[in-house]
Amino acid sequence: MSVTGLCTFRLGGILLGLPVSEVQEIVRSSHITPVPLAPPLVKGLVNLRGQVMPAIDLRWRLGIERGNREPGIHVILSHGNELISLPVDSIDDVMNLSHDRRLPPPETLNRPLRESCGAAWDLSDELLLELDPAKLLRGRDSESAE
Amino acid sequence: MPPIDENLREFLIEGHENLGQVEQLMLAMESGPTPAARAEAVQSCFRLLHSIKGGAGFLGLKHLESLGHGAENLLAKIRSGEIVPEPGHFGWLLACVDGLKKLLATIESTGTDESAAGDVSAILASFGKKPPPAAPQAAPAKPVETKPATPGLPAQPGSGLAMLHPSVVPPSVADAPSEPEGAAAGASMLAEATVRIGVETIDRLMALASELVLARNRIVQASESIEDAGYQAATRQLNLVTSELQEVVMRTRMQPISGVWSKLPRMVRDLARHLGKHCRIDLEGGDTELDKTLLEAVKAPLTHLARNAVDHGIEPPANRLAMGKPAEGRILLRASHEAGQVTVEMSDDGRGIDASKVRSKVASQRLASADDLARMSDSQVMQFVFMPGFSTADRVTEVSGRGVGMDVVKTSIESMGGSIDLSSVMGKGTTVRLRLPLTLAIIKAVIVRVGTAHVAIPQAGIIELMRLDTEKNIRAVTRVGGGIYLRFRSELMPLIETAEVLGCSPEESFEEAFSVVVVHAEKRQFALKVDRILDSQEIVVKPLPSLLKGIPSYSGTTLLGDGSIALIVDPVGVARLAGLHGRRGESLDVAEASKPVESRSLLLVESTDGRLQAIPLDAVDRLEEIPREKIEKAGDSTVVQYRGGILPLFDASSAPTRPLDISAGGPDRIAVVVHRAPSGLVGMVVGRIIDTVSETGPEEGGMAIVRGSVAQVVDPQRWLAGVA
Repeated sequence: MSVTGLCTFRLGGILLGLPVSEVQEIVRSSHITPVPLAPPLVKGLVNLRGQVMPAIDLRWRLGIERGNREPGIHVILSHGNELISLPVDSIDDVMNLSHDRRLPPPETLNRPLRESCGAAWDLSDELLLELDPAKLLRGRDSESAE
Repeated sequence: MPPIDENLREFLIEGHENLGQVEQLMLAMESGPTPAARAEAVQSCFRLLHSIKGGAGFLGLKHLESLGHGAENLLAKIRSGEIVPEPGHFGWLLACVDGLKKLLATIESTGTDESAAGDVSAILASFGKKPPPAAPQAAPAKPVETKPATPGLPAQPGSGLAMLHPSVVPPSVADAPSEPEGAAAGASMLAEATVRIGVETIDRLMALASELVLARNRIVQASESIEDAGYQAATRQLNLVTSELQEVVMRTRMQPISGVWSKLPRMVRDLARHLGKHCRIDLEGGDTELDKTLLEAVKAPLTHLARNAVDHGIEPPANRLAMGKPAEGRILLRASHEAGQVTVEMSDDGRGIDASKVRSKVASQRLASADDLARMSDSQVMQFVFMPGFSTADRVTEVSGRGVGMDVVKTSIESMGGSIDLSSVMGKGTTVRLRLPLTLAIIKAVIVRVGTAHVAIPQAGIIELMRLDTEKNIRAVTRVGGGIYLRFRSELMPLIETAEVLGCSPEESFEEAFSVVVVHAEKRQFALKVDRILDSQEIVVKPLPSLLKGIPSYSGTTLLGDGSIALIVDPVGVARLAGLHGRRGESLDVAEASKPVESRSLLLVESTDGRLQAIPLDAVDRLEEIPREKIEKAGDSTVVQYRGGILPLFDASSAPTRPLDISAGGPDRIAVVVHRAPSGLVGMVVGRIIDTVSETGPEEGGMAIVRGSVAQVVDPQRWLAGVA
């Protein structure tokens, strides 16, 4: 049975995951410099050891309610030739999941969330939503169609 | 091994690299996933071979050139659709590549390709010897072979082909793949003499060096409280080494452009002589420093352009003399920094490009509809020269031709984030202007605060930094319609509220003291209002993340001394945004304005007899309102005392121009547009000043469509001719 490694984290109480191969590292607290005129997807810029990368407003992207505090842990995603920071609330674990637990994203998810998911994983007590980086970074362009 | 001259050496290294790529592409050509991918591979292959051929021609390597030319010919036919490629063609092309590799090895060991004449003609002769249907070992003509790609082709197309068409490739050539092994080993010795480092590695090195500087700064600060002599000494050492390291890393990247173009004069001379022409090339601004990676990338395009200019631009001496030009043609190559970009301009005084020829070619190749074409200006039509496969040269020469040149140049310039434009006057010459970005470069910039954000403005385009705090200064701000203008050194220039353009709230209003940055870019001046001018420093330009690429106001990012991020502002982009900002409700113009169509700012006025007129803003020196009682009659003219002199007043609405008639009555104050003519200041009296606009509609016969109405465009120069 083939196994997929996912780096999992939480945002607004939802358990999310990204393929381990696409995650470069986890950084605790990093200052986000806002960028005037930036699209809503981009929260600002982050400096990671001399490299400047955009930080994604994941809550906006996934249609998750704003919480009391700003997510302060950055998952550094390596996508294409670029690094992108995803600020989240907390880091969970790296899980190796066998493919018989893999499900299509549930229809009941809100639209922005469902559109950024590649798959859902049944963890018996909870559902893990696997994000698809390419879909995630495309932004919420389907919004206008709704 | 005889000593190899530097040109040849570079050519060989590049040749090996290019051929390696060609081989990969051949495979993609044959079995690419989509027709588009296959076409792309054909195009790239063509370019690589063209560049090898061009270099060989320049270095006098006849056989190499003719083999390259042969392969290129076939590719040209495949590209144009004249030949539907069959597996046999690819076999032959691969044989050419092997032949070329072998030639490169021969050249490396002997310095010439003379000994290879036999091999080359064997390969060239083998083309066209298609498998005769009668030949016993020939494969039966399956319909599959006429298709550009065969889905079920064997995984190793090379070997598969040889089996399918044993007679396509003569045995001596088919054996070639095993031979270059030794030759390739020889070549790699040369290639190993230089180390090519990936851009990412240099970028990382650069980023780490700047990060080290920040860590050093913190340590130096912290060490002040530690009174340990050994620790202090170590800190000082760290300080020095870090500074030096950063400087060295930075210096490795920047080199004067003269390093690239120093070989051009010789090339131009040799080429001109070869073509029976006289031509010299003048170089200006050779000390303009460019990032090493950009320098490398700009080399081939420049060589291409110079070759084009000599081959197609400069006329033979007899023709030149007949046209009243000096027999010797002149090419001027000029480099400069402008507004944080590097501009490289190549102009020749040759025959220019015939716009009507381009038009007919565009029409015959169906690149644009006849309607569209008729509507295009000559300068728009010229841009078709950059389309793949487009050439106006009537014949194909070995030196250049076929039109491959310009699209190669455009592709490579654009791949480094630059832009290219071409202008040409029939009979006078052609100018090609390359604009290269500052990505990866280190530039001087002024750090300013706008709202709460710290941004960097490249110093290259900045003329002056000012703080306007006295009342007199602040009165230099004029509002005209919806626009705000600044009088600065007797010039009137648009004043842009940068914070508003960037969507944040400014700290200081126009009524109080504020700071401005006066910028010159794209042949005009404008002023950016900022909240505070902080510092001037050298910054390392980091590319803008691709998620932010669509925002015109930024050209990159940088890290400041404290590790915080600052955006690098592109003043031209800000001006563009501000221009659109001023025309709310005209959203349709957004796409229009972002096109590189020449647009100019116009001052929209209502003439004394109620008509709509537009005066080019660059002809406007000042706008004044003059009380009627100050106007005096002096003989036939109407004048007013103005700034210690006499300003003659004319009615802008009348043609032929006549002095203002003040007896006619009217408002108490008269609106005057002050124009600086060569003879002095002249006042153009108008009924009312309405607004400034960027010209939107096409201009014809002195009329322009501005905001849906037709306005008469007043050309001050022509108007003044009437005054005289």
